[in-house]
Amino acid sequence: MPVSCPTRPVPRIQLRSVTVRRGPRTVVSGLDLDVAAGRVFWLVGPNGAGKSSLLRVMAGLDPPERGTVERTGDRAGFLYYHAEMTLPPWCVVRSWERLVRRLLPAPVPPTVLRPALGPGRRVRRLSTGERKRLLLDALLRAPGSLLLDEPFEHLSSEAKIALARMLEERAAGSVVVVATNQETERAARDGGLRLEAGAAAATAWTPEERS
Amino acid sequence: MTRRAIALAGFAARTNLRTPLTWIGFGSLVALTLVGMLSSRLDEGTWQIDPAFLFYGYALAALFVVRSGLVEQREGGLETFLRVNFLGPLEHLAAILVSAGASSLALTACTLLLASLLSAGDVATASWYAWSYGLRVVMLIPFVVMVESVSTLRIPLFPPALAWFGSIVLLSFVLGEEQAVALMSPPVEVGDFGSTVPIALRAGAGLLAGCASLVVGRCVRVGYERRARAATTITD
Repeated sequence: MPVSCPTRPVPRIQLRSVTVRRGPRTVVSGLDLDVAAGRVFWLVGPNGAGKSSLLRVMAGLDPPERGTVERTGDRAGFLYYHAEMTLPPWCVVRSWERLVRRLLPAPVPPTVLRPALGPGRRVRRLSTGERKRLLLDALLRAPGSLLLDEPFEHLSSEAKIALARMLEERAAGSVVVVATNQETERAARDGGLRLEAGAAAATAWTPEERS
Repeated sequence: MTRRAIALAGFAARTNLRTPLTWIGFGSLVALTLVGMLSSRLDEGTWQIDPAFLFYGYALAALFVVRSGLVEQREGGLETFLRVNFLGPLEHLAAILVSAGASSLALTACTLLLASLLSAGDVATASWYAWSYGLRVVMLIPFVVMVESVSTLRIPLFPPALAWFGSIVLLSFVLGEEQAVALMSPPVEVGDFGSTVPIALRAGAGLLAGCASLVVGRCVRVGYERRARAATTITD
C-alpha cells in the first residue's frame, strides 16, 4: 500500500519582472529569477554593478522599483549579512557571545569560523577578519536561508575555505545567495547571475551550462 | 520585554559602560563634587558637599553617560544585523530604551555612592540628591533615543537638555525668570522626598509621552519596511 508523506516545499526566492534602482541608475530591469535550495547561488559582478542593491531587494530590505519578490518555504526565515557590518569597538568578546547565545532560538555550539579569542578581548583589539568571523559565526549558528554580501572579504584563506564548505552544507536545505565581485571556480560550478556595471543587464548561468 | 530584548539591552549597556566617554562622565561628576567640597572648605571652613557643584557634576556627567549605544550599533551596521536577523523592530526599540535607562540608573547609583561617601554616611540626603537628579534625567530618555535614531551625535542628551534650558529662557521673557524656572523645574526641599512628587509626575508623563512618540515613529519606519515587502510575499 503506498504511503504518502507530506513533503515540505523547497525554500526558494522568486523574482518576477523585477527592476532595481540605486539612486538615479537602474541596476537591473525586468529580471526573472528563481533561486532554490540545493546549491549556492552567486551574484557576481564588478563594484557598482548593483549586486548589493539586488540582494537587499531579495532580502526584503528595500522595495523593488517594479515587479515582485516571493520568498517561500523557509520557516526559520531569511538572514542577511553585509561585509561592512561590524561590532562596536568597545564591546568585549564575552559580552557578544552571551548575546548571541540568547538570541539564537536553540543552543548551537560555535562554528569553526569563531576565532580562538580570550573572552575578555575587546573588539577594537581584534583584526577586521576576526570581527567578521564573529558576526558570520553568529549568523551561521541561526537556522534559515542566507543572503550574504561579500562574506569572504577580509577572511584568511583557511576561513574562506571553511565558510565555503559551510555554505555548501547549508545550501542543501536552504537558499544561500552570495554576492561577490570575485569570479571564483566555485561560483562558476554552482551557478548564478552576473551583473554588468552600468548596463542594467544580467546574465544567468547554471551548473548544467558549465558542465 | 522579551528575553532577546533584555539580552540586547544588557549587551548595549555593558558596551556603553566601557566607552571612554562614560568614564569622562563619571570623572566629571567626581571632579566637580570635589571642587564643591573644596569651595565649601574655603568659604565655610568645613568639608561638605556643595549641592550646586554636585548638580553641575551630575548634569555634566549625564551629557557623557546617558545614551543607548544605538549610534555605535548603527555605524557598524550592527543595528541592521540584529533587526533583520534576530529581533523585531519593537523588541529592538525596547532594548535600546532599557539600555539608555540603565545608563542613567548607573549614573544615579554612582551619584548616590559618591554623595554617601563624601557626606560621611548621610545616606538619606545622598539618596534624595540622587533621586531628584535622576528624575530630571529619566524623562529625557526617550528624547535621547530619538536623537540617537536620527543623528550620529555621541552626546545625545545635549539637544534635549539644550531645548529644556532654551524653553526656560523663552518662557522667562513671557512669565518672568522666577515663574519660568518654577514651571520648568518645580521647587523642591532638600531631604524632603514628598517635595519631589511634582517632578516625579512630570518625569512619568514625559517618559510615557516620549515612549509613545518613539513607538509611533518606529511604526512609521516599519511601515516603510512593509512597503519594501509589499512586493515580497513570504509563505511557509
